[in-house]
Parts: sequence; C-alpha cells; structure tokens
Amino acid sequence: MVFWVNQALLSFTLLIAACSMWRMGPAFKRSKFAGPIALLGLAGLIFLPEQPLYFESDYHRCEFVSFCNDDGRESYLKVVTWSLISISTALIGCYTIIRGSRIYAERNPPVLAIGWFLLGISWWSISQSKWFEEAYTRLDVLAWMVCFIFGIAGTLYLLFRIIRFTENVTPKDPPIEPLNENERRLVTEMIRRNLGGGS
Amino acid sequence: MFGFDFSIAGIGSLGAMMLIAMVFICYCFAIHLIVTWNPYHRPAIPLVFSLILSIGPMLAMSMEKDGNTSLAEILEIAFLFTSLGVGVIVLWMPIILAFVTFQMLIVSRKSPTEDPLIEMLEN
Repeated sequence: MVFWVNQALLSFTLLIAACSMWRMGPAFKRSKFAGPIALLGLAGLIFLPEQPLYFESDYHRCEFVSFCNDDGRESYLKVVTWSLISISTALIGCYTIIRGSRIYAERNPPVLAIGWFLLGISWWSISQSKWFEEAYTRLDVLAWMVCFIFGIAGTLYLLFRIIRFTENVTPKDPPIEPLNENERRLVTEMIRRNLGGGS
Repeated sequence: MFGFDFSIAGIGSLGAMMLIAMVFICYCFAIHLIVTWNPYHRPAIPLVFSLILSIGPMLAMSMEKDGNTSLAEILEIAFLFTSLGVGVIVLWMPIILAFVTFQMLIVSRKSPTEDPLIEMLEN
C-alpha cells in the first residue's frame, strides 16, 4: 500500500502539473490531459490511504514529520477537504458573477445572485473555521505568514534574474519580415471578429 | 472546527519560513517547466537552478541527523515543505478573498465601455 504522505505529495504534484498544462499553449489549443490529471490529483488528495498499524509489514513511521501519524492524517484530510470546498465555492462564485455581469453579455440578475450566494458560502466556511481564528490571533503565525510572503517575493526575484540571464545568453533570432497586405487584412479581420461580435 | 498546529512540524523560525517559501516556489516552478516543455522553450538553466534550490535544502535536512539519506526521507521532507507552503498560502485566503470580493462588487455594477480599438479598425 502507498504511504499516505507519498500519495499526498504525488497528488499535489499532479495538481500543479495540471494547472501548468491547462495554461500551456494558445487559448484555442489547451492541453487535453490537464482536466483528467487535475481530477486524479484531487482524488488522490481526498482519498488518502489509511495509516498502517504498527504490527503491519508496511508500517512506516515518519522520521522528520511528527504529524504523519494517524491523528495527523485526519487533521491533514480535514484541512485539505475544507480548503478545497472553500476555494472551489469562491472560484465558482466569482466565475458565475463574471458571467452574470455586463462584461461579456447583458446583465443576468439570477446568475449574479447565484454567484454572490456561492461567494457567501465561501465566506461562511472561513468564518466557521477555528484554524483561521487561531492563526489570526497568534503573533508568531502572523509573522510566519509575512516572512513567507518575503520568501516568495525574494524567490520570484531570483527566478526573474535567472530567466533574464537565460534570455541574454540565448542567441537572438533575426528580425522577421513585416506583414504583407494579405496577412494584415487577415489580422484585422480576426480582431474585428473577436471584438466586434463577428459582424 | 478543527486544528492544525504548524509548530509540531518543528518549523518555528522566521528564516525557516522564508526557506520553505523558496523551496515551495522552486518546486512548483520546476514542475511547471517540466510539464510545459516545448521546442520554443529554453528552460534548461531555470530548471537546473530551481531543482538545486528545491532539492538542495531537502537533501541537507534529510542528511542533518546522521549524514545518510534515503528516498523515503526526502519524500517525507518534500511533503513537509509543500504542505506547509500550501498551508500558509491558505492562511492568506481571507485577505485574498476580501480583495476578490471587492473586485466582484465592482464587476457586478460595471457597464461595458466603448472599445477604442473597434473604432480604430473601422477607420
């Protein structure tokens, strides 16, 4: 049987991979594997295997992570399930609000109301969580959160410098020819159809 | 509803949180570069750097005890780093959601403006 810690790590990795594949390539040609891989990752995170008992042959005791015992597995599962519910209701709510507003079509009040209802559920689930209550009343946890953001900012800056360095050492392609009259008309027509509703 | 104490994982210092952030971002970035590999991309240098920055601290932590390491220990530490990283990001969720809710309020009341690009195309 797969140890639940390893399955959780693999599932999270699959989720990251699915998100990346989803955003890969032009908008009209996204990866077809992103959806199934994301579902597999989500299923792996939710349906974690049981912690083997100490007398079973595949019993695995963590050496470093003290919370990967049976209680830790339950806490981890609750946090993951709760987070998925809160985040998914917030995402679906925002998507519904955007679809119901006047950005892409006429305003649709019932769709807007459903979106706000879902966003409200997300807020309600957060307000019911003692995890946030505890975190936001502890100075050390707040300090960790701020330090984490500094760590992310520093890492992103470092990666930005590495990418700039890679771009600088990459041989440049020769300048391309300007568009000819046919290509110019084609691009103009594509923009007109996309922005002007196909008229 | 339930509790999840970060301090039981043995991560308490502020510098450790910055290190966790670095490992977490580099881990995600390495996965992103691997799964989006394509002929128009030159990700070798960023990938090597992100792998060094993500696996290096994991290896160092796993060898801290007795100088030896194993795949199981590295996976365990990778789980620790990623779960703590996701946990801290989820802790920011109320603040992020407050910002998003404000944006949704603006979107709900917004009317579309005339696009100057359409007029430019017509002319």
